[in-house]
Amino acid sequence: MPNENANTASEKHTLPVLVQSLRKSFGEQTVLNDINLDVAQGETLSVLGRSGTVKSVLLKLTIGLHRPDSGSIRVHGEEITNLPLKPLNEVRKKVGFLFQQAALYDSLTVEENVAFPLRRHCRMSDDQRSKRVRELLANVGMDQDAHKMPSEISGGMQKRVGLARASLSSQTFCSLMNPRPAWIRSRRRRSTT
Amino acid sequence: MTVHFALFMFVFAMAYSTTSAHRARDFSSTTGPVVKFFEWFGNLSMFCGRLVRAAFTPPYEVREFVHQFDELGSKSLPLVALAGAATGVVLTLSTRDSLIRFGAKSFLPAVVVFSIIKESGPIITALVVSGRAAAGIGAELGAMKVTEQIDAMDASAVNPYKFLVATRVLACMLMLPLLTLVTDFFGIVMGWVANTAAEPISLRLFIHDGFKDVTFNDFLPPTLKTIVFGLLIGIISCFQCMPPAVLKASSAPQPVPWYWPLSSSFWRMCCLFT
Repeated sequence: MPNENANTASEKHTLPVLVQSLRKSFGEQTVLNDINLDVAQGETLSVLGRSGTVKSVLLKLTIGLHRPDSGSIRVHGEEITNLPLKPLNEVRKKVGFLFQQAALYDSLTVEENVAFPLRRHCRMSDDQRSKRVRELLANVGMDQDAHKMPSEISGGMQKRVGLARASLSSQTFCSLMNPRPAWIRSRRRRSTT
Repeated sequence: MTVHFALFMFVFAMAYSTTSAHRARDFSSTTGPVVKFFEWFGNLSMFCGRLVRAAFTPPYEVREFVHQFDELGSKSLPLVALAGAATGVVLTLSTRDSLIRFGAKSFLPAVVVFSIIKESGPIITALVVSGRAAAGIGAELGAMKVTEQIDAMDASAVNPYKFLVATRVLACMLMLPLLTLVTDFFGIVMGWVANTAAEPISLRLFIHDGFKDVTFNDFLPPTLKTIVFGLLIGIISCFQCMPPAVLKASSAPQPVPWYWPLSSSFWRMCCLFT
């Protein structure tokens, strides 16, 4: 029995995401209290709730954009709650994150937005980078609009570009805030045809 | 030297006091503004620390720096030139009458040149840039904060201090002296135009009389002090929208107080004369 418990504990600590006894407050308002969740390899977890139920805060906590008041957040066994910036960035490089409004950089084109993390984290020639970006944009049906600015495309198109950017670094897991079922289904349809 | 040391200790004390600011908040409400005052300086000190670390550790965001150079520098050029021209005209016309009254009309070119290159040019440039470029920086970073672009940069493991803050501050620091040269040029040329309108004088004579006694000691320090103005403008405009993550987020972006370059110049003059 003790060995089984030890194995279970060690398996838990290698999960992509493991949240234990998480507590977060803003000022005097406690928004998350004793939250526990784990996400297994290959699992898709949906966090559902009305607006204002701090779903976004929970997702941001899992990549260290907020610091919890107490509790533990482990990403592939690595505790990130008090991690310094440099090792935290190493964890973030392996996590894809899509924000609610896509959060594209206004001064960069669609292509430059997707290439933004590639340019900084990967040693690639310009041609290789450009090819990789075009592939990602083609996956979300935005390859024809690569030269456009974010202000020139619709909100849905911005989310697709954001998804392409997030999928660059989703080696560990990918967090999507408010993904739209319609274009996820259309993406699946495109990938099968 | 003593004044500079005292200033450094004051800023350090503010930064240290920030860590106890939260405990101080439990005191009576009369300590609220005092605590906020110390918190603000503490936040600013921490921001400056992060900025210095971001600016001097690789990798460097050279492309973004060049882009900001263009945004802050070349796009401020028309406004700075216009301000310099207006300064030159007003200075010439208002000084001319006084000099004629004292029989010193021949000193007008020298007065115009000295006034512009020593104080008017640098201050006017800093005021114009703080109004135009700094407000633009504040608005841009504020919009990025609201639309989570800064969070997206963090999530992409890119240091926003490197990409957003250090590039803008360095661009401000390097552009201000260059823009000051433009202001000085237009100020002196338009000073000649205004003088010629009242009493014709050749440009060659005007320049000769104006620069006769000007040395590099008169020209370089005032021009280079605008680097400090650029530093103040860049830091304050970025700080309002990107306080250190550890502490409470700031409110909406505020325009760069115009008095920062003026008070900096005043403080520098006091240090020189003590």
